[in-house]
Amino acid sequence: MEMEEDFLVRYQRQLSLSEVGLSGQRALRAARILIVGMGGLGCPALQYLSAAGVGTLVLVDDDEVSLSNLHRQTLYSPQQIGQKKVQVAADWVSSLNKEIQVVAVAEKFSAVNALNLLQYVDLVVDCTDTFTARYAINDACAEAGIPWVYGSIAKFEGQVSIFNVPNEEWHQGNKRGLSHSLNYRDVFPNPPADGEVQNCTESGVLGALAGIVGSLQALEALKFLLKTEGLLVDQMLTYDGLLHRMLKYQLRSSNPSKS
Amino acid sequence: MQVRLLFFGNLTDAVPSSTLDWDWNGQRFAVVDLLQSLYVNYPKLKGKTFRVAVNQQFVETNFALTDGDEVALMPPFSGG
Repeated sequence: MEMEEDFLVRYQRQLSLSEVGLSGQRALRAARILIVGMGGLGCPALQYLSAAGVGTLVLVDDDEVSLSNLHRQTLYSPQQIGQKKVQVAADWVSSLNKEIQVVAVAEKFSAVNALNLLQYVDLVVDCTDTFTARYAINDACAEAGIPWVYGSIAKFEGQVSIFNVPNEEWHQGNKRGLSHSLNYRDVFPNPPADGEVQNCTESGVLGALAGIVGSLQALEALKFLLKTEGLLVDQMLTYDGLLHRMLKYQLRSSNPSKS
Repeated sequence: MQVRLLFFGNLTDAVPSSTLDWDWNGQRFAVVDLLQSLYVNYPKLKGKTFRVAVNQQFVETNFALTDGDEVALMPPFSGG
């Protein structure tokens, strides 16, 4: 265990925030987060969550580091090309702070392993780049009652939200008598047709945009763990990096029984 | 009367600009009517997956528009 004095020094700049303090810092240390996808969003999300002192991080991705990742996935270096991303990322976390429990799972997140992975965590951060994975996260989290932070990008734009927040974790409560806030399927009931929406490989992306959106996801996850105000419950934040336009939308389920 | 349209994500490929001002004549004009006229003018929008928000609130397609509304067409994003 890190010496208490070192702990206080390491986190001094955030301990002095009234939203954090010692009790908040202990809540971060007790928290367990699953990050799905260690690419353009996963790298910055992981870096800020681990630096902030989240105690347990489970990383899921079956991909390996490649040369074309390096412009946006800033955890990785050319020497690591061909290595499993989750292992490189887990080693990075351990070198930053050996107190953090980090688990590397070199598998694709799917309906098959989802519920097994979710039993170890309090919150999921979705840093995936396919609708298949995103709907698998949504459906497994809905079944397990676990909230998740959504983030995704399209060229110069990003979307961020937090879905499936249990009522007791959401101090404003909801007025619809539901046990959890809206989830992704309430907003987009079915995935688009194959090829309708391009991913970063097809449409292109600047690394800095992925860095901003992944950082927003980390911020939202930390706010959830610290129980701050202003969570994106039933809301979607959009950011346009070309216009520097940030807008917040009030979501509404397309399912009449939940709207 | 006029509404301002905002297009997000891949929808911007189907229209000339991510922001358009849209005029119409007539009394009742719901989101569904707007979409019909957009599909005629920008056929690539047809069949795309998106939700509609009016003044930053997601709505259903029977929502009645009024002069000065800001209407956003929001698709799901995929990239990560």
